[in-house]
Amino acid sequence: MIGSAGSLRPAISKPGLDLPDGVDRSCFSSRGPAQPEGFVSVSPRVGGWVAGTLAVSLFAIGCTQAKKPVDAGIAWNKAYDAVLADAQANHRPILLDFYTDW
Amino acid sequence: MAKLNAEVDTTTAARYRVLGYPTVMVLNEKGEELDRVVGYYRAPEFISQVEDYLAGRNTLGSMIAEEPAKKNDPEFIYKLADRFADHGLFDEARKRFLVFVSLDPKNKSGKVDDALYRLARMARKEHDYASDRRYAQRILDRYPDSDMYKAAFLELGQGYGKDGKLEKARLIFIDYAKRYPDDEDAPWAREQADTLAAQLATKSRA
Repeated sequence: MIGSAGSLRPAISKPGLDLPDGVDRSCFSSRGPAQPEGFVSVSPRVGGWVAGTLAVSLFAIGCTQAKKPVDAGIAWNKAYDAVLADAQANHRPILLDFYTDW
Repeated sequence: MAKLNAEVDTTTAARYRVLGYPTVMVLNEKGEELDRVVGYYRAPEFISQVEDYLAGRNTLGSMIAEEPAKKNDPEFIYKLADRFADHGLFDEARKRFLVFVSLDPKNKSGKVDDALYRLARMARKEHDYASDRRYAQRILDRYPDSDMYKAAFLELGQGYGKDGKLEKARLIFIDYAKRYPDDEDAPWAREQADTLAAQLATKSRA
């Protein structure tokens, strides 16, 4: 984007960080128009669930700014199979956050 | 909700074709993908995307359904191309990015440089280094004021390096570090130049 103060370029995928088979390890920057942060109205149907996702986005923001994950107090499951079983039992959607340690 | 280290749980990461980090997948209760959020977003944007996906709005599937009616809408085509790229569907993404570039020859949208950069990155991931360099060079030649200019500069260096053209790559990284000594990527560019110099030295000894 030319001359747009609001746009952030994607971080460079450095050769040393390239994953095999075309996987990109780059820490993506925010895309899309900048929006003011603040309270967001959330529909009641997904409110509770989305509230949880807020923590994910807070993590994301934290990572963007400090490059360190921020644990917002969510009890994250670490096992995919357990999450899938829980979602099926409770008829809930699933949110999977893929990350790496480097 | 699960937080998965993609380098540990490689099976799940591969199952969902995760291509970059962070990737947040939104799935239905059966584990089927509704869509994904790739990259970092501010909280309101992130929540809005997740809500949309849960409601079946703005998903890749819904956008594909809209495409016939919006095939001449550059903004829509760019967005769709971007989504295909996020999903790792590079052929589909490339097709749309090229249509987008042709629909906007004067770069009225201000996004042609972004499209070219994404085309370059996809080409590199597919080991098509000549195309990678061609797209990066196009940004450098045509869009000197672009905020993608420096990224394209480094992309060019990487395109040469990955293609085995080590000296050419080294010179580009040195040039970058000289032009932008205070840039956050300058140390990395210097490091690349040093690594390439060492590789060249080893090669000449062999």
